[in-house]
Amino acid sequence: MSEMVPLYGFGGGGGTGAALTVKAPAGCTVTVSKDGKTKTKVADSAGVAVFKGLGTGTWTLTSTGVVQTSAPQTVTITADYAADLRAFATINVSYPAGSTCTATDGVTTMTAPDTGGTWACVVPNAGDWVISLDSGFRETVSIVQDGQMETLNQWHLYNAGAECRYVTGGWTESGYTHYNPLQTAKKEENRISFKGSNSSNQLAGTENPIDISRFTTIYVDLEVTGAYSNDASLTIVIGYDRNISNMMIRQDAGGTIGRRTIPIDVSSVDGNVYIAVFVQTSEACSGYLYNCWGE
Amino acid sequence: MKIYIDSDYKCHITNDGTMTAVATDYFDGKCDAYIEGYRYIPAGESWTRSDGVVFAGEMIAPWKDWRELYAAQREYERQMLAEYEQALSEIEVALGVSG
Repeated sequence: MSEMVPLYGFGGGGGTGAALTVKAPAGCTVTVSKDGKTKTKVADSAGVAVFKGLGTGTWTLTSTGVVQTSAPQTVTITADYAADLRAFATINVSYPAGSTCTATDGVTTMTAPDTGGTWACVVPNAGDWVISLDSGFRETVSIVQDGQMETLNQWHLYNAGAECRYVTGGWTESGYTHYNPLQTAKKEENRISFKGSNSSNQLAGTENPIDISRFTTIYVDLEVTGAYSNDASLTIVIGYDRNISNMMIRQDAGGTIGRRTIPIDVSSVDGNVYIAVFVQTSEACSGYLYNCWGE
Repeated sequence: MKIYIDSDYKCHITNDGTMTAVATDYFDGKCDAYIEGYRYIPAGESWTRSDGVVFAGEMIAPWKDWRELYAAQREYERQMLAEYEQALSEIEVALGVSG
């Protein structure tokens, strides 16, 4: 819309009426509207759009394009006025399609506009933002500066010492059964340690069954520090109950010494399952669990 | 037991001439329908899913809905139990010890 077109009701010609200075991301289209009349400008390289000659009253402001679409703001103009449509930061969230995703800092709560699985979550202020799914998974994203961009696509079951009890109930061997005796793996500050013996299996598994219906892959970040053979070290199992001998999925970590992230195909699995890691019955086998998450 | 895997690492009970034989005890006691709903990636090999994620062996995971496989296995075990009970009954009759 041309600035030179006289607009009835706007005070016309820039000689009367108020000036509205709007801060918005450079290149965004800023729109002001009142009583069905609309005026637009593109924010300049300094991130400013100025509207002159506006009549007094309540105007609705929005910005679109380039970075994000802002939620409409309403301002009441009686004299020259300044407004800020810049978002504080953006969290780009990838979550299992079909899930409901919310974000909150304890004061403001937002919900993803759909359940499609991607959400450019624009947060209005700094703080710790908790992103949650209706299945119980949640992650915290720390926003500290204006313009910060973060990506969230990992939904943790175990995170460098954090047992994610709100969804797992904790990691334990209690409740699990096997033809060998089971022992509790050792919990360290930022990992779980597994040490094999010739007569038992050290194990750590989720206390609760986990709803992984909408995940396609479970990732396990572990380290093999000792192996019996080329493929005997740590094993990851997933099942609907806690009988290790009857698990639905089995993934061996392999005998190669070192740390790696192992993906497990769960695309044909729905419902609530238990996930556990155990070490083979050999004193030669050992390792660590660092992280476990779903995507 | 011996099973066969195709080029997509899906398990089969019989070989159509193109498959690879593997020995595993994971499917001991499982019926054919259960076994053939699984994918088996041997140690040292890898499979790439259609979305590009690469899975390394040894991985044993269902490619069919596991609840269907579980139902098939439960029916198989029920039939096996019925056959055992029938056989036991016939033995008892032959021995003259049936009640």
